[in-house]
Amino acid sequence: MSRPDDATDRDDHLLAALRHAPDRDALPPPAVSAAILARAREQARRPASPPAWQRWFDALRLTPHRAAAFGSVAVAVLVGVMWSVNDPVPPPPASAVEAVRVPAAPMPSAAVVVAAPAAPLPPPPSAKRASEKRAEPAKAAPLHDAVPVVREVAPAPAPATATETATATPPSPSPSPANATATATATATAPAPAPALAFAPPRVRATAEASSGAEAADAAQARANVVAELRRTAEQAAPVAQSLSAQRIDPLARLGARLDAAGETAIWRHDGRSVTHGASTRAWWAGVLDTARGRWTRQAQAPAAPPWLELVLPDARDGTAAATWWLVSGDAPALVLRTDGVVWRAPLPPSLPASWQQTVSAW
Amino acid sequence: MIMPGVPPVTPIYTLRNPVAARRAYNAAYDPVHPARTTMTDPTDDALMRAWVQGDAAAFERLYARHQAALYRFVRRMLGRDGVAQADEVFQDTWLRAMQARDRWSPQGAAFRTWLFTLAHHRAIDVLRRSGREISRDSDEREPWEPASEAAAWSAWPAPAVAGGAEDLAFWRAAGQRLLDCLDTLPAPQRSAFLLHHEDGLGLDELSRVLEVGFETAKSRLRYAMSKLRTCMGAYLPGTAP
Repeated sequence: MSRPDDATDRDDHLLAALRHAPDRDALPPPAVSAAILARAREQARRPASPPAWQRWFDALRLTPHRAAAFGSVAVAVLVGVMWSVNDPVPPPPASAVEAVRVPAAPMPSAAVVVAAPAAPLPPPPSAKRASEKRAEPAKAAPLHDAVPVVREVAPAPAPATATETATATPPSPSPSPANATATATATATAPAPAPALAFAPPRVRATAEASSGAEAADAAQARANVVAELRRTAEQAAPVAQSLSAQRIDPLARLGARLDAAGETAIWRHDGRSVTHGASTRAWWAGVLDTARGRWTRQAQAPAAPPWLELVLPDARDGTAAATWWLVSGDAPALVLRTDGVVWRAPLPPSLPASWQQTVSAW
Repeated sequence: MIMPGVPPVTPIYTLRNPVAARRAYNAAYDPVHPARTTMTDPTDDALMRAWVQGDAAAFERLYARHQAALYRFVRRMLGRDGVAQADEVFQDTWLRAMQARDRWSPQGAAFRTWLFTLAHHRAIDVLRRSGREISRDSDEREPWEPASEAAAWSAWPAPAVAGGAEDLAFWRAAGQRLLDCLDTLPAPQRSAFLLHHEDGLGLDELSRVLEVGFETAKSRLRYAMSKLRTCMGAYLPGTAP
């Protein structure tokens, strides 16, 4: 006896009746079976359709324009990925002018020290992670890459100024000129403290905002010291920068090479006389090189007066001078040179024009 | 020669793709019950995979394995009035199975369950098209059942005893009677009974094939069996309504 309430139980009497039903041995007609099996054999001969990705790839391969489009997109994606993975351009150091302008905001209190992120000092891991999380702001403002590390420290007996902190950053303790330059560089590359506080934790920011008037005065003095230091450094660096820039545009370099190549075939013309390039002219030429090196500035036009000296090189078939000199006396003595169609001017010491006049006249 | 418990090493199929067929055949190896692995008894899934890989003989074996049961199911689903359409439904079921070979996946239902699902849907379509199913779908009345189940089949011989020709004639007559009674059932109840009793589906599989909930499938089965018992005269005279 069975009950249908049980899912697995089957009624034995109904099962027995089913097994003895007249259609128990019924089979599909042979024609139907033959048709089904023929269809199955036909499909078995036909290869199974490839996977979706393979069908897609085949379709792409058979249509060149789609393949080209896909290739372009793939290359663009690859380039984009490579561009985003690598740092495209290292952030430029902040200029001294920017460093002077930025500290306009109130300085933090003595409890807050802005550590100058000099190059040898890597940012702490937490700051680096924070910088990576702020990837977009960092790209917009490259100064943030220099990580304005704001740390809360115990109050020192004497308030630490930004200058002291920056000076303490380089490893060399001696206050040599080189160290002074390094200090200035470190200060120049140091980010402004105001943006640094923007990234500081709220507790630190609150401490900075709660600074007293005396601390503000100290901070103003510290800013003044920074500005003075920067100006001193800029004045020291100016001649060097001028020299470096002038070396890049020395007009005598090419002319000297041509003169050396010509040797004694070169001719100097002065006051209607022609002198072959020899020992005396070489000595004067060396003096000119030493005196005017790095002082050449480009001029719009040559003086209207007749030239003082001319140099004719053998490659000038028509006798045209390769270089023409004018010696300017007076309050602003100078040597004016025209070569290759360009006019240059180099200031000279006051006593030098008369000396050169005598030398050249003696050739 | 394949020994029970040892994975088969000899290909049994004539294949265009021996690697894939080898993989399909190895899938028939049952590592949990190695004794069940025999050379002549690959699973339905293995045969289907082999056919998808190009082995026509695998499909012939699959067809031979299921053709009789499927044909019976289709005939009984369609009833006496639909015998003429049984061949069409049967053939269409196999064709649909072949068309779905690219989508067929052994991770889903068993092949037999999937095949009977296709046949059931196709049979229901034919019944609806002919208008016979619509009138019977609404017959979901609570079936009558005697208060005591002990009264059922008490006047019938035990089904396990199949001795003489007299008993055989009795059961054949009972079988014919059962087919007549099946014709009176609504199609949902009929398919529930046939799939459960004839094809051995459990209630879980039944609910999946019929695409109804478990309780609904169980209810349909209970109604079908109660009506069939009543129709077959399983209850003693005087207990029937």
